[in-house]
Amino acid sequence: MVLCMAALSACTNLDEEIYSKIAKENFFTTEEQFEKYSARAYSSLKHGGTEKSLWTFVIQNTNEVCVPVNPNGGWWDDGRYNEVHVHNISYSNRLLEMAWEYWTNGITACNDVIDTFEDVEKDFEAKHRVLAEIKVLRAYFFMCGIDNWGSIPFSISKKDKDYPEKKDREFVFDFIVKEITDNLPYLQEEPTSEYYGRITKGAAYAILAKMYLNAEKWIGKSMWAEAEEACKAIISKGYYTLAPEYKDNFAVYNENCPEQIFAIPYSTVYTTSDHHAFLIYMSTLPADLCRPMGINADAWDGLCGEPDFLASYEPGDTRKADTWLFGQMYDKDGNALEYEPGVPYIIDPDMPESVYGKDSRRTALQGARIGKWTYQDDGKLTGGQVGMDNDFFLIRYADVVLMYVEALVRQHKETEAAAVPAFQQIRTRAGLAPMTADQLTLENLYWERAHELAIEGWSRQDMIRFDKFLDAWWAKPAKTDSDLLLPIPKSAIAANPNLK
Amino acid sequence: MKKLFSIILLAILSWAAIAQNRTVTGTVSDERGVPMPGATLVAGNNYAIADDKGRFSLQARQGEEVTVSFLGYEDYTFTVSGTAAVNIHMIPSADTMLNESVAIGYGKTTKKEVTGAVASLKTEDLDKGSFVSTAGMLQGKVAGLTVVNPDGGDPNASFQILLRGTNTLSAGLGPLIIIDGVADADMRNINFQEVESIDVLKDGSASAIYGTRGTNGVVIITTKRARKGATSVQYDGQVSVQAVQSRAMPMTAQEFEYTIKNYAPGKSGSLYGYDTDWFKEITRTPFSHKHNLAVSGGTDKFSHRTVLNVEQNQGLQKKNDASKYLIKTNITQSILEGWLDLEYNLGYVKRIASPANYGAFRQAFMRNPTEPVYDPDATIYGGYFTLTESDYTNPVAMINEREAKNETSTVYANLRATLNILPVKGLKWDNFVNFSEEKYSGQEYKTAYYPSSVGKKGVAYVSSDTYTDFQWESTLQYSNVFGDHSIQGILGYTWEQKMNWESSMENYGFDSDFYKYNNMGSGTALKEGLADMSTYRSSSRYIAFFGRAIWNYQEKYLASVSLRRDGSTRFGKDHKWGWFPAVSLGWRITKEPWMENVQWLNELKLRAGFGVTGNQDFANYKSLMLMSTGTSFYYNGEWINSYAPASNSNPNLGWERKNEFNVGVDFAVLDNRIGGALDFYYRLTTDLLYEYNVPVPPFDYKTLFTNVGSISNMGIELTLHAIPVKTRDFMWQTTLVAAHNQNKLIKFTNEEFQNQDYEIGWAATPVGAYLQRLIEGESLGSFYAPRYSHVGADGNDVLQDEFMGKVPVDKWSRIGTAYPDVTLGWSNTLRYREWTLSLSLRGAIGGKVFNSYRANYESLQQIGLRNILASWLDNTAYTGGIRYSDKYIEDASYLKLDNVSLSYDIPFSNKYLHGARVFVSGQNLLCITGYKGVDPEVSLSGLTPGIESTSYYPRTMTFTLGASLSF
Repeated sequence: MVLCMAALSACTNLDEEIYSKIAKENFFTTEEQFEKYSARAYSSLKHGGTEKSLWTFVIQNTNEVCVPVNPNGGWWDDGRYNEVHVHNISYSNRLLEMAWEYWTNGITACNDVIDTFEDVEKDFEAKHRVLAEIKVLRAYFFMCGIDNWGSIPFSISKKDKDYPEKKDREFVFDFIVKEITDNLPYLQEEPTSEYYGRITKGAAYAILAKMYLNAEKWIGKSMWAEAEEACKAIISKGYYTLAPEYKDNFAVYNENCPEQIFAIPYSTVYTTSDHHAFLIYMSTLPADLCRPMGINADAWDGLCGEPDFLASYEPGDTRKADTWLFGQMYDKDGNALEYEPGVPYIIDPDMPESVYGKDSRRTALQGARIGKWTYQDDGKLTGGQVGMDNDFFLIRYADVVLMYVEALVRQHKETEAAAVPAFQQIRTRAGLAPMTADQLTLENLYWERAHELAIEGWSRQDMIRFDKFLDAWWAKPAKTDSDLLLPIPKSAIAANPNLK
Repeated sequence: MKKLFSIILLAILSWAAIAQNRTVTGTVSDERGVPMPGATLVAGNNYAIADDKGRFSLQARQGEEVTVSFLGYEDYTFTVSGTAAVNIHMIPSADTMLNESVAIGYGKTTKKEVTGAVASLKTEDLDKGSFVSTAGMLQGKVAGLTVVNPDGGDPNASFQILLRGTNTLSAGLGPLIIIDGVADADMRNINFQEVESIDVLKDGSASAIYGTRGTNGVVIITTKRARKGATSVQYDGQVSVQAVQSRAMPMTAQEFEYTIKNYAPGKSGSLYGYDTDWFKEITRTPFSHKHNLAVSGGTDKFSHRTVLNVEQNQGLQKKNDASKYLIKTNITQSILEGWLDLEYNLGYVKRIASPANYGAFRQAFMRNPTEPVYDPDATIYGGYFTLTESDYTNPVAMINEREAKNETSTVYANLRATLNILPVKGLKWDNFVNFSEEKYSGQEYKTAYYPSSVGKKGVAYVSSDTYTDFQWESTLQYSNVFGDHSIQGILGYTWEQKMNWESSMENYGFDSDFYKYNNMGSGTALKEGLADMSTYRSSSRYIAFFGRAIWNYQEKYLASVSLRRDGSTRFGKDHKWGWFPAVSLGWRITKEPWMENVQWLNELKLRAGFGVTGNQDFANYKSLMLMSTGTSFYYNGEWINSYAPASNSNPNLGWERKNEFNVGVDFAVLDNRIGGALDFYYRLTTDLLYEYNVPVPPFDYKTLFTNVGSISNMGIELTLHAIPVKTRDFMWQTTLVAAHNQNKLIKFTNEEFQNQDYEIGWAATPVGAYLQRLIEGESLGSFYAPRYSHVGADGNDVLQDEFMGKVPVDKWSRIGTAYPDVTLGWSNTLRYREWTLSLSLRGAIGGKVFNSYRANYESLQQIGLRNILASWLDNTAYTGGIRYSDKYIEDASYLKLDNVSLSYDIPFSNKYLHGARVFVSGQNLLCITGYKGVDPEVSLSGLTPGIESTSYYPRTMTFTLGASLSF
């Protein structure tokens, strides 16, 4: 009888057998696996490394980067790049969708890790620290949301199965500040190498500083003193210093740079694939420059420096050439390159506005290219799946110093600001004269930030904070206040009717 | 003494008779050329019976009439003349056609008794020629069955089969293929010359017995089986060559130079002064040969058929080959005094392919014809002339510097054991087990000079996959006749398990190109952590219980009822099993007593059926929330894997459900000279599967694979057979099939899943537009575009409703759908004595196709670095860039001459050679169409049908010379 039943159940058994993926309930067996599971939340930052992320969205949405149609007719792509740059963004824009997915996926990953940890009854050493790290990381993703979209869907646990409701900016602002403040005590203070790439006290204070600095624009409340305090909390500890050379921040192997506060570690070996690799070289370099530069790829020749931005550097500012590729091009051994026999390979950073548009094209020798992150020339870069080894510093000390100076200037403490040694060091490192208290106007401070932190992903909120974002520049016309927020993408509305 | 006298007299008379007579010899075979042992030949008082091989020897006088007869065939009479051997082809009588068996899945019935929409093809219905897959033989032969080969002349082409429209949004479209009882078999693993019959179950009532695999129809292929009788040997051989029939035509070097000098002088830097025909550089005249040897024979108790098949096919592109080696045997055995029948099939198939490089055809098209092929100074590029631009690679280098080979070995073994429970007439218990295993091994090597990987020092890639499939099917069958009632019943259970194991590795950085893919470990990328390695395993199980009862009364009232309970591991845990019922009825009006006097009408049958089927052709594990390794993360000073969800769980995930209603009429008139079938159907598919965007959170993953939409297909199908001429020496048989299908997307969204993306079919730069839309209430494959107006004074296309240089997306017009209004197939066989000419045409009326080559390469703006279509010269006023409009969406109507073949039966027979036939055939000879692209017949599968691909294989025509010999 039993045999008969067993035979019968085998005859109708339709349970699935899984081999090459894993069901979540079978995944966690050791504490170490729990701790490592938090990597999932951190790895969602990696979307910041490709041409399809919030980071690349921001640099194109501001005065830094433009994408004219290239000589081969590439990069029009239904006008998606153009829309982002001239602030005429349709809600079905693919770049907008990807920018949205960056922070929403980040929050989902954080929620999942937090839920998983909170479900563990056992109290183990790493539990509180990891929870605090991931909660602050989630706060960062929420900041990306309110920064760009204002009111956003709010969900802090994936157990809540209803579609998230939209919450206004002020509500989320308060949540972020409270979340960071509550969790600060549990975070690692000294940025030792084990904590590289993770949220430490320094990173948490820097995010907090950004919140306070933008509070006036976001929720109509000036919080300059709070911003000053948050920056001071980082500076006073003395764990971070400016790197001797500006370029040290962007070197191929930059993980020991003293300036990094919160880094996204990248590796040629470990972070591959279109979605996880740091691929800026593919997006910007022309194919014919690659092999002479030691890169075995046919790059896509798209992102260019916006001509007005290139023209805005003070004479002698070494950061211009440290950030952009223009002028004579050289191979990896330093030999000057020819574009065609007899024609030197000289890139002109200036482009007339007329090269911009669907039926126009720039020439191969027009448009500065992004050269901020040193290109490795060891031949390991071999195409769209292999990313660069340079780590991306989401927050670095110079940013904190400039925020500190700004908070002081906003409170009319120009003299105190001019006396911040690290600030003047930023100037001298760039080959420029120190700034006097009189020179510390908001206009000058804006350009200092713009040039120091160019294409590092903060320019959008900076331009808004310094009232620059609605101005006209190059091909982009002047805009009205409604332009300060991005539309919620169509795909997100389709997925969640609460966002209509 | 008297007795002795009588004997002598008789002997003398006999001698006298013999003196007047002569011996007539020859063979009798059926319409397919199969010998007919037992056929009787009568000449006056003399008669003869054909032997095992259909041979006969008969005494007859010169000028005497000889009548040949065989049960089920029309009598054949000829007059003795001359001394040559007489080879006789018998024609089945109309009654026989009605009695022809039709496979209906888990059993057989006859043409007159079938109640579902089933198309039945025998060998003589299929074209002669050279086919890379048996699927190719089905083109244009069955009304409502569209068989498309989007890969043109590629010897490794795969065919797409679509039955009665597109009935799914994202699940599979191909019908269930059953070959000799093995479900889900691969048509490439049989030899097309071995096909005996193909039955296509078209409507829901016929295919519901296959449950969740029945929606796209069922194709049942039966190959030639063991036959009792003396050993016979059959050899079929053929050689063929191909020539280009159609391709995308770029400018020649002269046209290119002329165009640049006269219309784009600014681009004269792109004139390099050479004259290179890039297409010619990468192609050749392909030659192929195929051989099939079949040995069969045996007794009532034991017989076999063993086949050996060798094929070597060349493709048009250099280094593109396909070959096949097949050996199989079919054995039938009867033991235990009729209680137990056994049938074994054992087979081994090896297919070796050197796949084509499709990208090379596109590069050859757009490569500047004034560039040279080689450049001795370009040493880092291996001496190939190279311009470093993205997506611009030397096609000759792409062919020469790549070595690719795939080998697929399949072994299969199956046993059917039928226990005849003799005490109960008509009762048997049938068990079928099949094991098949396919091993695939792929190898590719790109040398240090392969264009896109220069600098990587040789890239090697190998993969190895194993697919195993085990099927067990057990059925209890009963059939009997009780007076006027005839019944057939079946109860069954089936269990099928599939397992896949896939692995691959890639490495680069080799010291020498010598190793190719044979020394994978020596590449430096492995040491640097840049090599790739992966393995994957999955399995699925499929279980069903089913039953069917077929009844008829006096062969006049017919009925069939079936029910299947189907389950699959792929379904969500709350939705593992489903019911699939079907019923069909038939009424043979001509069997009614009151129809007896209607002489002109030979057969009239009404059929009606309803059936429920499903579609479960989607990937495994789609109902589970699974974690996969995401990107690595630097944690505590080391790189570790992160894990992330790869899918959401969906415990309700189920099959797509199709309800189909079919009514049909079968008829034959005028002494069975004209006959056919007319079917009307309505199929409604609900619970369509699609990946819907869902909010994250609360979901774990951003899309959910779930059942939402519905689609309907409604159509009419006509099959018409006629024998316009039928004389002793000359006969013309013709078959016309025609079908019309109307597709409609009824629902794509619901309360929960709204506002999904409806723009689909993205065409990249320079087109930069979505070509089609998914709109509820419209057909799938609906093209939308701005309307083209004229060429403006500035040389740019002007579009209707333009505003600020743009036509807003909501002002675009619906241009039409990719699906044709009517598909047609017309096959003819003309037989004159030993000569047979067959002619097959196929066509489509209506339907739209997006001309990708024009939309990408017919603009003066594109010339320079790259070549453009020579057809630009037809309208030189148009000098602007490409603007997407309905100008690129063309009418896809066509008429193709698929096949012309002429065969000759050599009237020769001796002790050793019993029959011989030679044939010549031409395939894909002509395509009459207004379409300006390569071929209006493009892929109609999937959600974005009707879009011609720029990565294509040219169309070729094939000329074949073949011979068949029987010993």
